[in-house]
Parts: sequence; C-alpha cells; structure tokens
Amino acid sequence: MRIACFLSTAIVLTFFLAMGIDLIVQGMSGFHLGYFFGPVLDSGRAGGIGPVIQSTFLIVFLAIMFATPMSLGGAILSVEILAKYPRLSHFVRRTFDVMVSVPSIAVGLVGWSLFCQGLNLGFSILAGSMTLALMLAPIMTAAFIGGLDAVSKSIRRESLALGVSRWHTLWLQVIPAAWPALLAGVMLALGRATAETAALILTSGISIHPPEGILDPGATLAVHMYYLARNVPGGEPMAYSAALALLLINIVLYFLLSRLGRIVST
Amino acid sequence: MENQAWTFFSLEWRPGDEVFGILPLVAGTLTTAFLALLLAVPLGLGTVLHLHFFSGPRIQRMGEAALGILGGTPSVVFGLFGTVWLVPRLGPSLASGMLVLTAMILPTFALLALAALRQIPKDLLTAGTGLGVSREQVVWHLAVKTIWPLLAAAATLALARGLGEALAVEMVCGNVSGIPSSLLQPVRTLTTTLVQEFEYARGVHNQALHMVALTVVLLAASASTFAFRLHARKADL
Amino acid sequence: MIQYRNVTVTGCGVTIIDGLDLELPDKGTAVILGPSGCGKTTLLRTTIREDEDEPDLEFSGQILFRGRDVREPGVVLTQLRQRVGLIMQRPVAFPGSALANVTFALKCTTNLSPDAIEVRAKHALIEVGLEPDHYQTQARSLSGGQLRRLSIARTIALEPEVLLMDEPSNGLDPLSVAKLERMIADLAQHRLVVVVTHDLALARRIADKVFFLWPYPKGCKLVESGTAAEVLDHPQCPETQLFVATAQKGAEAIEESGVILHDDDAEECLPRRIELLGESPASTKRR
Repeated sequence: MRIACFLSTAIVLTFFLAMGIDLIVQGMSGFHLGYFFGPVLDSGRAGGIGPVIQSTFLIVFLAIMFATPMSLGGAILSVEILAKYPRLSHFVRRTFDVMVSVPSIAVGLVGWSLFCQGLNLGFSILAGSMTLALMLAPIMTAAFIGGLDAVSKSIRRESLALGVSRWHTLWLQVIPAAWPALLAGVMLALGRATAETAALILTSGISIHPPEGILDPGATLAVHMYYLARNVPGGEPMAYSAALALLLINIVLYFLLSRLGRIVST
Repeated sequence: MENQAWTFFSLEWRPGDEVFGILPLVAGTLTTAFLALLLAVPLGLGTVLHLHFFSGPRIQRMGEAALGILGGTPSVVFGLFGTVWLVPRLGPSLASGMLVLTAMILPTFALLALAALRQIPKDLLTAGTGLGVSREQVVWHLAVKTIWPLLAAAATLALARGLGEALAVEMVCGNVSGIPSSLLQPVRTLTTTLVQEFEYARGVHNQALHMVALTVVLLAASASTFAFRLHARKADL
Repeated sequence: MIQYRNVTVTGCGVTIIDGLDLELPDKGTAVILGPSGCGKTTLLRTTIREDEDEPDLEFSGQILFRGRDVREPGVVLTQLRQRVGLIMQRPVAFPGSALANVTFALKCTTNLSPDAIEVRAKHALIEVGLEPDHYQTQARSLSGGQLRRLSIARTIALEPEVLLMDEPSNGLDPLSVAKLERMIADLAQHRLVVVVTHDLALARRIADKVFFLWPYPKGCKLVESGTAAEVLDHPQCPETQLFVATAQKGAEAIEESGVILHDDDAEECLPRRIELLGESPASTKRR
C-alpha cells in the first residue's frame, strides 16, 4: 500500500510541477516591463493588463467591503446571540456551511437578474462586486464563526463575572482575541475572490478598457484570462501570461495565509 | 406554463423549439462529476496518506503547499490547460471535462482529508505499532477506519464542488446536449448551459434557465448537507 | 530476563535517563518505582524500541532480553513486541468492537487461523474480566476501566513472555485497583510482569522486587533495589526515605529531609517532553 500512496503523490506532484513549468515557459513570453500596468492592446493579444488590474482591485475591494460587515454581523449573531438557542444556532451554522458550496454560476445568475436587470445596473463593477459579496459572505461567516468560537469560554466567563457587559466583552475581549482567525477569514475570502470567474462573467462582464466608474463593466484577471482563452482567437499565449500572474498571486496569498495560520494556532 | 413544465422532463434541451428537458443536462452534470470523483479520491487519498504518514517533514510541507496552491488556483486556469493539452487529443468531450474537474476537486478533497488525518491522536498509532503491527497496517486498519466518515464527507464536498463548476468545464466539454454514451463524446452540463445561454435568453427560456440554476443549487446543497451530516458522525473520540 | 546496561536516553537537549543499570528477574512482579517525570515510561518504551519513531530521542547503551540485545540488526520488531508486551498509560480504543480490538494484532502479526485467533482473543478477554456481552460493544463506548482492561487483553492475547505495564493504577478507584492487583498476580505466575508506578501502597502489595529510580537534574538513575520490605520499610538512601516518608507525612517530610528537589531544567521544552515521554501534563509538575 505504501507503493500506491507513493505513486499517487508522485503523480500529483508531477502534475503540479508540469503545470507550473508549462505556465512559466509559455507565460513568461508575455511578461515585460509594462505588463502589470500597461494598457491592453490588440484585443488582449498583446500589451499588458493594467486596466484589468484596476478592475480586479475595485471589484475585489468593494466585494470585501460589502461582505465583511455582513459576515461579521452574521457570525456574532450565531455565536453570541443565538448561544441561548442551541438548536437554532446549529441550524444557522449548518446553513452557512452549506451555502459555501453553492455553485458560483447560480449566484451569478441571481446577481444578473437582481442587480444587472432588476436594479438596471447592467454589466458593471458594482453589480459584480455585490454578487461577489454574496459569494464571499458564507465563507467569511463560517470562518468568523470558527474564530469567535475558538476564543475560550473562560475568557468570556471571566469577563462577565467581573461585571463587564456582554457587548463590551465581545468588542474588547473576544474579537481582539480572535483577530488572527478573523483576518484569516478575510484572506480566505480574498483568495476565493481572485479565483472567482463564473459569478463575475455574468455580472461585471468583460472589458479591456480602464473603468471610469463603478458602473462601467470590468473584468477581473481570472475573467480576462477566460476571455482570452475562449473568445479571442490566438489569445492563448496572453491567456497563459494572465494565468501565470494568477498563479503568482495565489502563491503569495498561500504563504500569507499559512503564516497567519501559524499565528492562529499558538 | 403547462407546456414548459411538461417538457421539463423530456430528453432534449432545445430552447429554439421551447423544449426544455433538463434530464440530459443532469446526466451530463452527474457523469462528469462522479467520474472526476472516482479519479480524484484514490489519487488524493493516496497522496495525503503518503504525506502524513510515510514521508519526511520536508516533503510533507512541499506537498501541502502544492495542494494548497492548486486548491486556490482559479478553475479557468485548469480549463486553459484542458483546452491546450486535452482537447487536441481527446476532443471536446466528456473525458476532457472529467479530467479538468478531477484536477480541480482533487485539492479540495485532499486538503479536507489532510485536516481529518491531523485529528488522529498519536496514541492510536503507537498503540498499534506497540503490538508489533506494521506501520502500513496501522495506517490502513486503524487510522483510516477511524476517520472514514470525515473522509467520506470530504469526498462529498469535493463532489459538490464538481457539480457546481461551470467555466472550466465549459471550455472543454463540447456543449452538445444528450445522454453521454462514450467518453469521447461531447457533453453538456447544467452549468455549462447556464454559461452559454444566459445572456440572450428571454421570456420562457429565461425562466427555464432559472430552473436549471435551481437544480444545480439543489444538487450541490444536498451533497453538501449530506457531507456535513457525515462529518458530525465523529468516529473517533 | 531483561538487563539494562548503561542506558542513556537524551531528548530535546535534556538527559532523561543517565547511565542506568538494572536487571529484571525472570518471573514474578517487578515494580519500578519513583516520582513522576523520572523517565520510567521512557525506559519501558525504549525496551520495545518505540523511541526509534521519535526523531528527537537518542539512545545509547544496551537492553538485553534473554541475553540478546534488542537493538541488534537481526531482531525483528514484530517478534520483539510480541514477546515483550507494553501496556500504555492511557488506553486507546481501536475502531470496531471489543473483540475486533483484540483480534486485530493477531490477524496482522500471526499466521493463525481465524478460529484460533478468536479462541485466543476470547481467552484474553476472560482473563481481564470482560464479559461476553461486551465482546461486540464498540470499543469507544466502553467505560474507562473497561477500556483499560481491553488494552491489557490486546497485549496478553499475543502471549508475551514479559509484560510491561505503565502506571496501570492511574486514576482507578481502590476497588478497581484491587481487581487490578489480582489480575497482575495471576499474570505474574507464568511470566515477568514489570509495573511502573508511583503508588507506594500498590508496590508494597504486589512487588516481588522493587527498583527505585530518582530524577536527578542530569537524568534518572537507579537509587536502590531489593524486596518491597527492604526498600519501602528500610530505605537506605535519602531520596528513597523522602519518597516513603511523604506518603505518611506529606509536605512535612520534604522540610525534614535534606534532599534538594530540583525544578525542571528544560521548562521551554516542557510540551515536547510531555509528548516525547508520553507522560500526562500533571505528572511533569514538580513539588
């Protein structure tokens, strides 16, 4: 059995290596000094990804801005207020957990109907970020709940025994104690946001021009990559460059997250 | 509406003729996802067992980093690989779609399985080896048997992800609807239909697409709920 | 039966056992006595070479089992662990029924037929006092005491020549301890039973021979040995005298004695030591 396990590991790691090498070899050709900030040329077959970076930044930033307060509120609700109703609390947590697996394309469709058509926003960064926020919220909430839960009950009991009110305990003791886990939740969502494509294609659309406002359409890097690979004949080389850029971002996020993870576990 | 409700269970999806049978789409979704799971689980399990039990700390860290980074990679990157490496050889087909999905859900499964393995108390292993049982047998008969509900939950969550994936599969699967009969046939899933038709669907077609979306959500949600039920069945104490 | 010659074990930069020389008899009950944290568990684990799984532990010296060094290249681990059985301090439940727990090692390490295995397993379960209606109970639903008995059954089913028991009376109420004593007495009739404990009363009642270890800052050493009466009623060394006295006089004895009690040198290493030595956290607190 040891052999089978070794073989599986070899296969998986070889695949990872092959993928990385392929990406680097084919993607590097598109990298040049102005890649990250230069304009998109020739429908994306040349030039850089400057506008795309702008759109990505806007969409992701807005989405996290929308999602974090909602998620924090939801988490506080589940952990502190519903603590008295264990069955309801259990149900709510389960619901958040299940919502994490909701297919992003479905959320995209809902976003399209609600925001793009219903609110008449059309393909826009605003609609995209609102939809993305809907996707991120369950992930963040689940992570926040985990973080708040982990703050030991004894800290709460101690603080309440000293006469500190429930809310003060929450804001001055529990949340500060949970901050690494909370930050990890945000970073987790950040990673998910950069990888998200389906929900955004349906709501923020595709654009290769720098966005002038949040009502303009905009493509994130992942969406741009999809567009290059699928809709632009001959766009594959640049798609590779975009994919390489995505991989690099991913690697950075991974190491940041594992650093945080180490802080959390001490 | 009655017409449409009737056609919902028909075997064809032809929006042009207002025939909206989702069965071929469901078949496509289930086939690609389950086949991908069939590949991903053994490979993933073997990998994490090796990393956690049979290898040194350096390889362990490398392997976990690889899995973590793969897991965070956008699905469309795998779609890109599929387009460049798989489609020229296997055609836009069920096989291509399945392989792309495997690449995507393997890290999901592996990372969850690894988390489960970490919960195994060290005492269990030493109790086994202390009796003279080999490490392999201890890992398989004691460790894996103890946490199998968690592993099953991990597999089910990976399945849920596979059911919901849209773009990566759309890039390689061919998008011809129908119940697939061979691996090299092009296929279409619930999600790829949404991707392809959402923009220009009007009226009844639009409503039908919403039903498709609902179906995917229900499929993924049931898988996910089932997974969490399994997870709650803590086998080890 | 078992000879420890100049055994030194270091881990985490700290010497746990320092040049220990000890000889265990061929039959009967030998008790290794001493305060917590004095490497008694480590000693047992090195006897079946369990330290080899821990990258941090270093072993030097010899452990001779029936005259043969257990660390010789030709020694097969499975056979060693069948002939010398270790029962751990904290019992663990394998997945499956109680009976399955016991048959597991037999299936993996012996070539016996399934029927023979079942016979042996049931015999072992009877010997530890677990009744037939518990055979099919899931091991993880057993009570603490039953689980402890199950772990003993798992080991004796392999029919070892030597039984090493690590703090078997830990956490047991007096009635259970009494039952345990009876079991040890039965087991000791045909083999060597080595009991590691810090329970003076238990030692006095069951031991044919007592070995008293003391945790010096530079590692544990054997202080004295002899029959229970010799060591416990007429202790020669000040450390032994202190240990025996605290059972009756408590803290007073510490003040009256001239022995200096040292704090752990490796405080930073503490959690790792707990893991390495397999000791419970409470037992590493001195004083």
